[in-house]
Amino acid sequence: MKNIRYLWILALAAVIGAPLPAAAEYPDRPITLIIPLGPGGSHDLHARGITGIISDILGQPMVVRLVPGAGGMKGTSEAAKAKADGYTLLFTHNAFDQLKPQTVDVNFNTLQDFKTVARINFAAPILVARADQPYKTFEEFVAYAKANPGKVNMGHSGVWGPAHIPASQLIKETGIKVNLIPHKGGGPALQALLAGEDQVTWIFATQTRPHYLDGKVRVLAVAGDTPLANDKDFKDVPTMAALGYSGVAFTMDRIFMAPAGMNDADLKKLRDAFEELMDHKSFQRFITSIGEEVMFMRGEEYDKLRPGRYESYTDLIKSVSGK
Amino acid sequence: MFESFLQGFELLLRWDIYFYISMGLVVGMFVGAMPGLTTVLAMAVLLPVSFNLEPMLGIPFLIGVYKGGIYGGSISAILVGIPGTGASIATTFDGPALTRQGKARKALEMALFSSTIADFLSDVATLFLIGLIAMIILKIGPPEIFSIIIFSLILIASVSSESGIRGAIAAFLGLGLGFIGTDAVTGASRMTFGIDALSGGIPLIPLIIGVFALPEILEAVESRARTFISESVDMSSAGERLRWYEFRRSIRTILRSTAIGTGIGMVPGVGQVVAAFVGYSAAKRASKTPENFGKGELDGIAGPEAANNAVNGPTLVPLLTLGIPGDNVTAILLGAFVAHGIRPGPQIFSEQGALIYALLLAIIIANVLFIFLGYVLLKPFAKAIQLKKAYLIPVILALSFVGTLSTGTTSDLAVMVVIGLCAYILRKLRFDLAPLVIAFVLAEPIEYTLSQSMLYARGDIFEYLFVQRPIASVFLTAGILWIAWMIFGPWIRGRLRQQRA
Amino acid sequence: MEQAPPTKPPLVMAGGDDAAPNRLLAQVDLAVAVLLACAGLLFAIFMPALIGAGGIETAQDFMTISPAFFPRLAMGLLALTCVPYVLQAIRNLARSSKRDIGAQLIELRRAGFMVVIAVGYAGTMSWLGFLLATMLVSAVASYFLGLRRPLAFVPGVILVPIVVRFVFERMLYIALPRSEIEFVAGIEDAAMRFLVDILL
Repeated sequence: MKNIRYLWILALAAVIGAPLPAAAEYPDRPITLIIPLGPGGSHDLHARGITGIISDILGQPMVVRLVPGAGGMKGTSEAAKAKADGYTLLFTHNAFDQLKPQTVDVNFNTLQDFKTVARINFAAPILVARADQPYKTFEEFVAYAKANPGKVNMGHSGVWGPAHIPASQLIKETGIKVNLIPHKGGGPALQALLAGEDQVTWIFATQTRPHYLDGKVRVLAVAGDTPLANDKDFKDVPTMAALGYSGVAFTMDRIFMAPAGMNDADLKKLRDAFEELMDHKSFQRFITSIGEEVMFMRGEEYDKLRPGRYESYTDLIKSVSGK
Repeated sequence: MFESFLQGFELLLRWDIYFYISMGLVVGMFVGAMPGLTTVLAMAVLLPVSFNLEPMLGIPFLIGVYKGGIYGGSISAILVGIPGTGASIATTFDGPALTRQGKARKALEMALFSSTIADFLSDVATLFLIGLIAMIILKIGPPEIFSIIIFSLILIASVSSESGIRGAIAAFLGLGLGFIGTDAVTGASRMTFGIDALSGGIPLIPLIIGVFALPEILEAVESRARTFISESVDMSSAGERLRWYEFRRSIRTILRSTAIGTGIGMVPGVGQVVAAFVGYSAAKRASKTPENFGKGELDGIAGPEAANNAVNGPTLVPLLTLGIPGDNVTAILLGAFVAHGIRPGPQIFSEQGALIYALLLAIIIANVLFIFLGYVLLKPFAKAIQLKKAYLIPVILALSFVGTLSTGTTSDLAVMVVIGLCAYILRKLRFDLAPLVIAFVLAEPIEYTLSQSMLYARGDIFEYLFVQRPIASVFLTAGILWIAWMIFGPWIRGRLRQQRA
Repeated sequence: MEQAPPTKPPLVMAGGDDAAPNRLLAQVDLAVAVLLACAGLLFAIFMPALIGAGGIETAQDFMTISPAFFPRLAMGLLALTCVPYVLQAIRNLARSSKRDIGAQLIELRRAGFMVVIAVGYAGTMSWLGFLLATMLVSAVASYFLGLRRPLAFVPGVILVPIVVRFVFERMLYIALPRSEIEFVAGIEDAAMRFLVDILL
């Protein structure tokens, strides 16, 4: 039949026309980057800047694929199940990598199925209160919350999200009783704070800045042990560690992961490429323009941190869910 | 402030802005018309394109894509009965009927005019009342959202009462489907039976394709081969254009729907789908010929189309005044802003006033551009659908699958096919599936906002509701009274008549 | 002005004012009614068992709705509203007549075939990859819908999947499934590279 002949001709032409590589060098076709989040978020934004430049470094385009759903587990699962040939990578954060898989049934083993390629940066959540509240510092807040159990509404961006985790850690460490209000994402949580429905919330510096400058909110503390030294507005915000609550240490690490079965030479190539990316001027400019910083850590080092973090989250989960 | 406004005008005096807006509109229309491809997807994909353009070009471009996309969804809803987006579902009630009567062109033009006029009015209102709208939005919290959703549902239900039992069953089925997945309040997974594909819940696009596209395809396949090859959507008999008197009849509907859509646009989490349904139901209620609705009534196109476009204006307000995106679309727009180093928020009007006013004005002008573009492009688009079914069906099938795959996995395909099969069977049994979709969409917001409200109320729900949140209590009381009237009304009226006699 | 092709009377559940309903459909109707009623009831009763892992206890003592509440309500209401439905279905079945449904069965068979195609498409997508799966399905569907001239197959069946894949993968950067069969995947990549070289 004619149409079959056409198909063969086309295929033949395609095969002849394309340069046949002797040994396929990684990468020889586009790489898919799965982001287990919805469009428009900070990961999406970072990815846009990263993929453009890293495509030049690697020689093949890196293509973003958004797979939101199941609290980040849908995309993560897809990446875990993908062929470990290095053409499917995952751009996620540590809550999805080390904590979430412990809370729901997933069909992958996060520590075994993924290796880190690189950590791009991290964002430390800050505890923010409305300016009209009677407490001006973190200590005052804790005192107030202890004196008025259940009265303070603390909003967060979603269960096991980057605001809920430090909130749970805080509750565990200080023993205060607050009214934890879930919201569908950081945006609604911020809106509830501004509307006066919530009195405090955990959020990130970039979203808070305009409202801080407007005088509507006060920043009480930053989670973890690293102060926001480079931030002109928030460099004096005390860290949780300095305040004596080193258990409130959650920071959102933005990490690139690859399936664990990937061959070592290719993985090294990828890791080197990301390190090279950090030195690119246009990348640095991009990151600064979106209001973030570059805080690179090589994949191998981050992989050493993961099991420890994983365990600390296991304890946290137990204390919060009572299981 | 006024200076910035005037400066904004100056920024608009460049032809390339309008070129990019037009490109966006065309691309958006094209994407929206494909089943399964959402405008959000198109915008997300084109976001990097906008990075290379300056904000004055890139952002109107993306907004053009968005506006074009909503209308594109209506095109396929009217011509082949498959809504391109959730917002066009209500257009499938009267659209295909009009096409079958040979009035496809009238329907398309009515949709175009209602959409653009409503969008225009809503955008103008946003421009001039942005401060007021911002204030109102801050007053709307979970209890208000809950009561507005309930009120809307009652309105929708009161109008579709002739679906009767089957409509209610479809609605509860939709509710049940909507709860599959992860409970957002506690994080527990529900009704997933350990199937991975369901762990995130059923995504909306596979549901819409399954409920609308697949049964359409299956029904189209039913008729015999012989007559089949020559069967096509015959655009030559698409009819005449919309006459002025026909349009004039619907002006009130358009204005009413604009008000509805603008109001719903201020309520976060409700969105275009609900606005379209409420617009349709309100139009039907207010109409002198409600029995024509569903059989090919132009008012039934104007109602939902105007409402779902009027939502666009206010949804920009939280983005611009607070820097908070209300939905995926505004999240992408925020990304476009941020990538250029502009962070919307309280200071934006003093720092970048001219740019923001220029953007708002550009958005308003985009509507005007769209009337002309859309009018001109109607015929080619519709002609593209005029292909033989033997060509059209496989392409629609392939595109539906591609649409699901673009934000899902191959397991979503299985979900889609299963839903499609069940929807086909239910349609044969005379089920109207629109209540299913709207219940599905609203299942989570209802539960979520109720839970949040209860948390805020700290256990004392009545005091909280009536003392602290008067707006919510107004809507709820109105809703309850309405239900009471619906149930007892006829009985009371009968009694009164007896007494008078 | 030509008339649009007349719509054939659809194969639907005739009830109420129409003539006696079709027996086969009435049986299906009853089956579906009973199925939904039972499903609603079972789900409503056993809902807590379906709530899986991952739930947290909210960190305060105020009453909130448990994750089981709303689904239970929805399923319970479903079961409730199915009761009049079941009754209606029984009545319809009693009234139904065994009309000549030969022609309508053929229609159903055709739809059934299409269902098989759709299921096959979904099932083979990851194995055969987007290009091959779409080509096969389009070919079968077009043939089934009456297309016979071989030349007519080329645009829809062969060119459209390639164009779609190209536009999506290389211009919009949305990945579509590659075949698991290496040979086929190799051809897909080669075809894409070819088009990229000449067009981009």
